[in-house]
Amino acid sequence: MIGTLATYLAFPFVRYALVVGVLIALCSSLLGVTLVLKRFSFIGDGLSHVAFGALAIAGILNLTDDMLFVLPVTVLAAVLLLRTGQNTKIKGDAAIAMISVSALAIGYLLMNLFSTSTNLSGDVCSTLFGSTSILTLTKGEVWLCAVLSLSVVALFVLFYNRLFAVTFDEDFARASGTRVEAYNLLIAVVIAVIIVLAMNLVGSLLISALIIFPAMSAMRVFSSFKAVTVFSGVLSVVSALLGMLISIIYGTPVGATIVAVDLAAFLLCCIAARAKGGK
Amino acid sequence: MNLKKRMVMLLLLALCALAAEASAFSLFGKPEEKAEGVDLDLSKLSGTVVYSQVYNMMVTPEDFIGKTIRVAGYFDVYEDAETGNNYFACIIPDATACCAQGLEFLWADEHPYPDDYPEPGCDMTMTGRFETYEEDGMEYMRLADAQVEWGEID
Repeated sequence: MIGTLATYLAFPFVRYALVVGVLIALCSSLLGVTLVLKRFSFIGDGLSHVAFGALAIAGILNLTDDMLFVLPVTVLAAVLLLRTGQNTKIKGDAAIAMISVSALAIGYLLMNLFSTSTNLSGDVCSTLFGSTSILTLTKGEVWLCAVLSLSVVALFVLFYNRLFAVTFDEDFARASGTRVEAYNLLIAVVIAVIIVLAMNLVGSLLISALIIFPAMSAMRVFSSFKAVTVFSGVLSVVSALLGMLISIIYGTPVGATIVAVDLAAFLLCCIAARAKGGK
Repeated sequence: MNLKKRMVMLLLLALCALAAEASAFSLFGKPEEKAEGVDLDLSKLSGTVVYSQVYNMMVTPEDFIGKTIRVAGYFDVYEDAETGNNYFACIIPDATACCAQGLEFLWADEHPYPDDYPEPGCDMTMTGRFETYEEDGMEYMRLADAQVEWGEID
């Protein structure tokens, strides 16, 4: 087993994938706790569909670096979605559902009408399910993913106390002088960055799993914000690593395998919580 | 504060992993795991890794020119209606079966088509020298002087 693993690790793209995958899993789980507690579990799904639509437009425009287009569009959508519920006629879950399906439909429509690719179904499939995107990153993309992921983790560590306050009670945070709108904007930007990064790992249809599962698993076992955040991060990293290794060794789809491991971890946490006599 | 320390440690670990990448061992530097005379043996690896490796060979061919490569997949042929030329390829699908990479090959010695070739879709394993060539101003990659084995190899 160790020999097999060493053979696979001799491939540079496998090492890149493991490093980037672990970093993406770590930062998605950190923000996952905040999103689940703010009742925005489904925002990952909505934003990933927006990113899919933006990616389709970037492809049609033949942009050499699609990230320059996809990232700002996803950030804008995240800001708009997190602002819902405040003076808007269409409330949170309905707004997410509408933006999500509209972006998905328009993206696919545009790809069908204007794409110059010879393998349209392959392009759509690999964007939706990740395919082997994480294993085919260039060195530049690896560094970009690493820098963005580390920036997200650094921001989370630096603003941990403020994010904690904004997550649990916005009104109290506002009353105590915290600039709630600014921190909500920060959360929106960070979520968008994570979504764009995670599309490489699991594809746009499975991103929600990376955000929700580790947080929900941790909440089965722990009850304090700090313990849930730390355990969620550790569990997400271990699950992503295990999922990628299984996928690499046994030739299974990367994204689906990671999500299956996340699901297994969630079930184990549920059993552990039952055994403890808790939730 | 404890959480911050843990996070900083995680960041440092991630940076160390990236730094280690710069001095990592070479792909072509483990002779004990390769078949004789083969620089890169992909025939025993999982589909996910083989697909990704062939994709990377197409993106950065300069890293592989002159290397002897062994790879397994299934046979396909492309017939150019304008020139009448036939191009033979080993197709490697990815794990989700939505994408596939085709690696062209030139079978060593004389082998008339279609007499010596099986039907498209037949399993194959080939060993050949990776090279690039130009045609109509476009650069293509292929395995030259390829030794081909038809059917599934254990």
